Amino acid sequence: MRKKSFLYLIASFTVLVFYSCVDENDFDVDRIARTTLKPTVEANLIDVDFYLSDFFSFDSITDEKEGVELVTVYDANGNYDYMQIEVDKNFSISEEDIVDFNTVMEIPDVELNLGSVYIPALGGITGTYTLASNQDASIIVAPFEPVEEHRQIDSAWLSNADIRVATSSALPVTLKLVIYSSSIKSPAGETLRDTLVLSSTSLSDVVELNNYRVYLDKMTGSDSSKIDLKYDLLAEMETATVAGNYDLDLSLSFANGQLGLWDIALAYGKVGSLQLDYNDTVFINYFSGEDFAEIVKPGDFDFEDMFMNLEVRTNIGLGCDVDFSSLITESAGELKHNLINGTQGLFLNRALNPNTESVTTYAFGKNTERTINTTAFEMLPDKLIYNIKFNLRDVDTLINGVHYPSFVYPNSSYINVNSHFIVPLKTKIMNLSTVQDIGDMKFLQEDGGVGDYLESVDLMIELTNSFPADLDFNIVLRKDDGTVYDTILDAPVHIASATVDNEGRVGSATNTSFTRRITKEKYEALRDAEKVGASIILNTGKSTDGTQHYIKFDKDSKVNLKLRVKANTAIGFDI
Amino acid sequence: MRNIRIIVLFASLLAFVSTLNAQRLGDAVYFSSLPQASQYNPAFHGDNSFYLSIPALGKLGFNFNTSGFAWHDFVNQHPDYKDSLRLDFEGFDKKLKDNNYFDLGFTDEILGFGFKIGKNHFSFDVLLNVETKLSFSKGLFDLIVYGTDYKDKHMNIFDKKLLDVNAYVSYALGLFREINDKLTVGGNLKMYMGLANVSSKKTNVHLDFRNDKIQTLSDVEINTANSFIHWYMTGDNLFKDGSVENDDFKLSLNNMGFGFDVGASYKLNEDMQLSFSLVDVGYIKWKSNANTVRSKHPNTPVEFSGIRTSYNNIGDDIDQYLDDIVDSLKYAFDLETVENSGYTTMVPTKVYLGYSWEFFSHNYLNALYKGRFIGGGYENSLMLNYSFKMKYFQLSLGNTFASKFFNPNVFVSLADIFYFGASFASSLNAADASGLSFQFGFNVALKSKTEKKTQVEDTPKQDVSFLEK
Repeated sequence: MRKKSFLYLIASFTVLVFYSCVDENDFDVDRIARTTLKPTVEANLIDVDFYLSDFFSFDSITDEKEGVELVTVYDANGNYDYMQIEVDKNFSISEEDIVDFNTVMEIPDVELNLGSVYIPALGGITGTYTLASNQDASIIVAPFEPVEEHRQIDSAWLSNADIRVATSSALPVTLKLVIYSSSIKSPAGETLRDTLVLSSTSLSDVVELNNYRVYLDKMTGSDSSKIDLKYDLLAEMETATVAGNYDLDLSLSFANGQLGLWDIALAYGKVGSLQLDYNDTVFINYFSGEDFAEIVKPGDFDFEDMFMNLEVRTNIGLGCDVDFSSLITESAGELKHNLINGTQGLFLNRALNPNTESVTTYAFGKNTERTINTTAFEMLPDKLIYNIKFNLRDVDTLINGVHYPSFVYPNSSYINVNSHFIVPLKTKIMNLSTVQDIGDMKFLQEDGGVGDYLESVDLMIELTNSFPADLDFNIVLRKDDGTVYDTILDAPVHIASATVDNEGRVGSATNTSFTRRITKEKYEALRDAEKVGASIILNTGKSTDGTQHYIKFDKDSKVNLKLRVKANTAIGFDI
Repeated sequence: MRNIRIIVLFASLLAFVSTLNAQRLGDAVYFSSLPQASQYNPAFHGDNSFYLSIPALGKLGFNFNTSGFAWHDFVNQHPDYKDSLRLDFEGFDKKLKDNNYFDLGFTDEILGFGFKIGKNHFSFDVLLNVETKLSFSKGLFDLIVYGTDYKDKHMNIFDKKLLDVNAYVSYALGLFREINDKLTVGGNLKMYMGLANVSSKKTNVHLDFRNDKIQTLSDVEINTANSFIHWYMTGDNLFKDGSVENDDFKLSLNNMGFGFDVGASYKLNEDMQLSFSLVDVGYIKWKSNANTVRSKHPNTPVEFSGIRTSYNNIGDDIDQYLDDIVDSLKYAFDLETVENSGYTTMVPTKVYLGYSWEFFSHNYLNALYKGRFIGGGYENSLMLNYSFKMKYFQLSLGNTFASKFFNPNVFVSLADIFYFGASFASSLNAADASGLSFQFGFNVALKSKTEKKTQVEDTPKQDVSFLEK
């Protein structure tokens, strides 16, 4: 009985226990709710350098712009000091502007009315017989028009002139007309004495006066000038010469009746008062390059130490007063500024002697007596307008007892001006804002891609700033048209400037680290962005005394950004 | 005195329990009277003069085991929604050890019969065995749950082993003989016909995210063979343009091996018996359709350490870098198949050491120590059970002490014709059990006459003294 009872107890216990060993509900997989896994993936993502030249396309300043150069200046130790923009502008005022090309002096012929000239019978003696001597045949030269401008030539080197004599009379004998003039001198300085020959077979003759200098003596009470000319008339007697009275008419012509400025290589004299205007517009658009213009707005830069060197070279012996007051810059909106402060009348040195050149230099700006209006450049002009007046005047110069009369080259005068602007890139930047595109994140939009499984992302950013500027940094999300519709960070992160000393030199870089969480909402906004940009507001750094100095920028200075991400995923699935 | 011996014995056994490490319970407890008992100890053949196991139903067994985790560790009640279940990856990860596995086994006695002639018993069995084991490291789930936010910056995703499959048919010719009243010995000669095998020689996938970078390495070498179909990988890169192709089905019987079992039982006295056996000492040589699947570029590191880029190309560069990483992973994890001239695997050898004590009529206390050589290691367990034996009914209840303490089991036999056994690892609740095995079978058996006579004599005498009054 006991045995059976024990057996029944064991059997009952066994049945009871094993009957309850399987609960179907435990295995009802239809009741399994959606599962979401949230593993985290943390890894370094990018290591990127932002160079100053990425924000300011310094090369665009000089690209394809003639006469513009970006120059690196080194200190005495050969180390990089700063950059500067150098702009050269050359222009010339040529003879066409200096001398009126159409000016002509009328020179009437001189008629040598000798009347009846007796040639005696010399009984077969041959030789030269003087028919007339020391006769005056001065040439009258009409003044330049308009007379009231009081221009005159006192003397001139002739490039193209001659004296001709001709006759229509029948010549019984060969005549020699010996001309001599105290007003006409050879290149060697000898007065003119030359002989023209007329014969029955040659009724004209010419004496070339190229490269001769002719003096035009002002006639008293008249605006005309006179060229002194005398002559002797000789007959070459031959045995067949027949004695008798002969009517001789000779006509003397100088420079074919007119002396134009093209016939004159160099003229001494008076120009009176001659104003020449030089007008030119130079498109400088140094800062209008696409990259630069987007960042740099008028007034953002404060150019210090800007200066201009002016060098004028001329070959003319005239004085010149130059008015640079109307050297103007024009910015967007036709905003004009005078580049030179005040009225700046400058005197240009004249060439003392022919075939020499004088050089006059003037400096404007820092460390000079003449100031430059730096605002004219700080407004980032796209035009430089030259309205320069050259007031030429006669300046007879006496140096150490030597007289240097005024002269001009009618055909080859020049005034060459070289303006050399130097704009050191030492600036203060105040709240200069720029957004640099860093591409898009379209790979986050791919179906089934990484983006589908991200719930939030922690950005761990380490910045090393070698810019001499504080940065307020954010990441902006933009539509295709560039409109900013959201930012990744709720507020910009402030990154301290690299250290700056009192001279504006950049010292050591600063390091900043921070972590920001991108929420799911921000992440969705990031996925939708057509463009993603790094938004940076720059303010140049301050030295330890709190002074914001002009900073010497190095285009190779950079901000290094190391980004480590911690992606918090949410991978959901159903059974 | 006797009671003291018993107490000492069991105390020793309990102390021994702490050394046991078996994860896999394997086969259920057996009765020495069952014909199938010879598969555990060739010296056991029961009390039958003849038996025939029902074809394909003589022994049908199924088992699954894990390295200690259970269904509830992974699928349990949702904390927020009481009517729902959840996949509890995080809880499951905490339950895992460094190296884990999940294995399934299946056994089917296709044919079996035996008979007795004098003191000799002969038997013949054809048994189908299928064992699969999928191994993984805790790092796999650490990666899924935590990603790189894990305290140890190094993970083994798979370490040494990945998949092992062994499917074979064993043909066993057995003989046991009663040497004397106390000693019985037996043995089986076995021939193994391999059907399919997957042996992982090495499967190492590591993830390292120290030093500000994520690095992964892989090295895989797995042998495979089967008797049915030749398969292979094609293409320059399995993950880009590759594929798995196969030829037509063709039966091949070149995967053969041999082995043996030996066993003995010894009656200490009328009530106590000791037994010992060594089972499946053998091998299989795999030659048909043998391939080695291996890494084409082993230990090629793939690193993710970020990129240097320019400011205006960040998005495109990141996109390109991710593509490059994927390509690098495809390259580093690329696999190829290489024809294998053949390889040998050992059949898992088992050791059984048993003790049985009839402490009261028809009531027994049993102890069975089981050891198994597998995968280059050795695992063991100790089963203690109580059994009740009647003529046509036997019941056994017990517990197996293995890597975990509580592993109950039950076994029932009806006249040795039908039997059923089940064991649970760590819990009676299937959802909390880290292992489960059961088997059942049908036999036709004829008892030997000697046994019948013995049973009559053992019937206790009735007290009829009251009739005399």
